[in-house]
Amino acid sequence: MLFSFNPTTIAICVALLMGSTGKGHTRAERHVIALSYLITLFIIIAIAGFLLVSLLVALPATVQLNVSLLLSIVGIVWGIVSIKDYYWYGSHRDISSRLARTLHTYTVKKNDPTSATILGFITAYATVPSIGIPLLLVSALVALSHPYKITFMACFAGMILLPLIIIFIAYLRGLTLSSVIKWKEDSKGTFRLVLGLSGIFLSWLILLSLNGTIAL
Amino acid sequence: MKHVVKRNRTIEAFDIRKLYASMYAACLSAHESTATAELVAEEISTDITRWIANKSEVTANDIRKQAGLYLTEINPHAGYLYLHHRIMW
Repeated sequence: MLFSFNPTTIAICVALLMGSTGKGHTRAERHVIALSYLITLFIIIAIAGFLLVSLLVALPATVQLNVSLLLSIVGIVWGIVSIKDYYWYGSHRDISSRLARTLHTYTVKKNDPTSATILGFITAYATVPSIGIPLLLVSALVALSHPYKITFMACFAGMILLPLIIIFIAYLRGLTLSSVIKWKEDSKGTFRLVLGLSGIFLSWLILLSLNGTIAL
Repeated sequence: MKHVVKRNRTIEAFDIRKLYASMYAACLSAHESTATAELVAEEISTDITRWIANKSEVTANDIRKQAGLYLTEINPHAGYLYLHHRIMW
């Protein structure tokens, strides 16, 4: 759940809603566009999770342990970098200017169910730096658990989308998008801190599981 | 003819209709009615046309900032949306 609060997904979702209203779409059309986007993103994250868990489980035990160890180290480094952003956001950019322009095109300029579906794919790619490592860490934890529950990855995808669904519902009930953007801008350092700490916590759980301290 | 330097460094002729459309869309996104959005877009288009009159070349970013400034004076929500919605990180 904590991983779902990342500036990029929130910004893209708000831009999509902004484009949808700015084009003068009806309430029903806005629903279809938002649902196309959310469902696509859910499917991509869930499938990526299923594939990662399946891949990790299919590996020989020793290789799986080494990969999990490597992932936990990567998770800790990623966590530290994310925590750094809480103190110094600086000119840090998760996504390139070119990708930002593409996102702008698919959120504000083109705004229909097809472009929203394409946007789902682009978002999945754009948010790899934000949710890619958490996805890997959660997949490693699920793969290490006995018996492993692959359906958990669908829950993970749902959790990632939960804030976006809440923003969408609140927006339909009159929430101003400027307040969401302001909240995102004011809180993005805190989001990074929480993301970083959560990443380190998950990495720590993997390490504890690997040395047998805890049984998942 | 006024020229606009885009973000990707290409140059194109200034088109007030593009600005009008973006102002109109920003107002609608801030839950304004179509009539109000039209009025605001019209007013800002006039302001920007006056502002750009003595310039031969401006950047797209300059126009965005100036239009955002005018829009914030009229409707702070729409202005904030217009100026910040492109920040994706």
